[in-house]
Amino acid sequence: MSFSSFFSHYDYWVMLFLAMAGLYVVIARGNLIKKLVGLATLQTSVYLLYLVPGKLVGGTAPIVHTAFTLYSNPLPHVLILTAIVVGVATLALGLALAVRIREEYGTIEEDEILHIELGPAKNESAR
Amino acid sequence: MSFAEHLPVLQVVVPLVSAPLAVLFRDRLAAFLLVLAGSWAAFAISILLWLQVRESGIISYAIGSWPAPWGIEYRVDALSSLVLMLVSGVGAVVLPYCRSSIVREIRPDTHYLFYAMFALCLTGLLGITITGDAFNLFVFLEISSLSSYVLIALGKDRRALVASYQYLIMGTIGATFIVIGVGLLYVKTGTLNLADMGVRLQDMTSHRPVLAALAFLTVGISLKLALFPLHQWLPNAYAYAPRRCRLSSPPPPPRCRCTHCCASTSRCSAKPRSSSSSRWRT
Repeated sequence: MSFSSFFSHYDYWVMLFLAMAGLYVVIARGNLIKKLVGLATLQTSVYLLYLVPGKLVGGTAPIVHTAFTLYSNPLPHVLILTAIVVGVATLALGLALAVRIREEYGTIEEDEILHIELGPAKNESAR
Repeated sequence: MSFAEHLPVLQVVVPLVSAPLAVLFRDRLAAFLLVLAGSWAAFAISILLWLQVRESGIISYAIGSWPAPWGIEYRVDALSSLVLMLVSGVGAVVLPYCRSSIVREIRPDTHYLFYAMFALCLTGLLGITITGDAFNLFVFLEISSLSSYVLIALGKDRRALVASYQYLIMGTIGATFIVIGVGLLYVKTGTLNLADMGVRLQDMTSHRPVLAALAFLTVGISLKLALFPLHQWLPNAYAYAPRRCRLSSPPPPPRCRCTHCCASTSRCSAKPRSSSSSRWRT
């Protein structure tokens, strides 16, 4: 891959970085809230994947008028509006679950919850 | 403009409307009767649709009168009418059966929420089956998934909360992968209509973005299906959910249909097709 083609698609590299960072946080962190932050980052990176190909440099919103000839595709924006709503709903439900887990267990650390559930002996052997 | 023409959209709208109504009534019995009526109406509509398909072949319904490749299309063929009947039939039969177990296992003041979530879950599953639009399919998938998370979390055991949380994390990763796959396919084909997408993909079976999209779709759908290596969330979600939810929350047929939609869109998707048939058998 040549240098110029690497940089001409830099927005995809940003998207990939955000997606992988989000996925890493979801897997590597035991804190329930931090996991949700990672999940939100992963979802946000997808918004970029949709919006970037829809944008045309110099293009306007699709208004039928003689002054405008170059239009950006409005469909990805509408799709992503829907995806944002879904993402917010997921995040809200996840946070609500974290609150309920905190009420029941008194902690939001995954290993401590496991400790409470399995008891100290089993938890040691699991490690 | 007859009633029979609008059956495909009523199939989804009837249970969808019963959910907010059940929340507004805030009464156990009223919510139960409403959602019961909604799910039996959905079952009746699916039978009517099945008869229509047998008589006159594939039904294509354009939402808002936008014609198919641009607008959202609802498409009922022989297979999807059968799955619609299966899903709505299971929902309609299970709801009255489960009433006693709900009374035993769920706090009385949250009963109406349970019924609302049941109706939403049914809406999502029916929507997955009936829609002919890739992004619409994702939205219905998330409607059914989000309501399943709540249904599982309503269990009395506190472990249900952790199970639901794990399901939420895995399910959302799966959904995000599906969106990435759909996005890549949209970029390549310029259409979201599944049938149209299938036609356009025939010429580009070996393009790298298409293969990447199919890989994302396969992993995402497998996560949602709890296919073998990606099934960790499933056992706990089943074990700690209120007893009745186990019958409905992750029912295989609609997820299978979702896979099948993707399979039928392109000839090169051998993987999604095989996963759909394996789920069908279990």
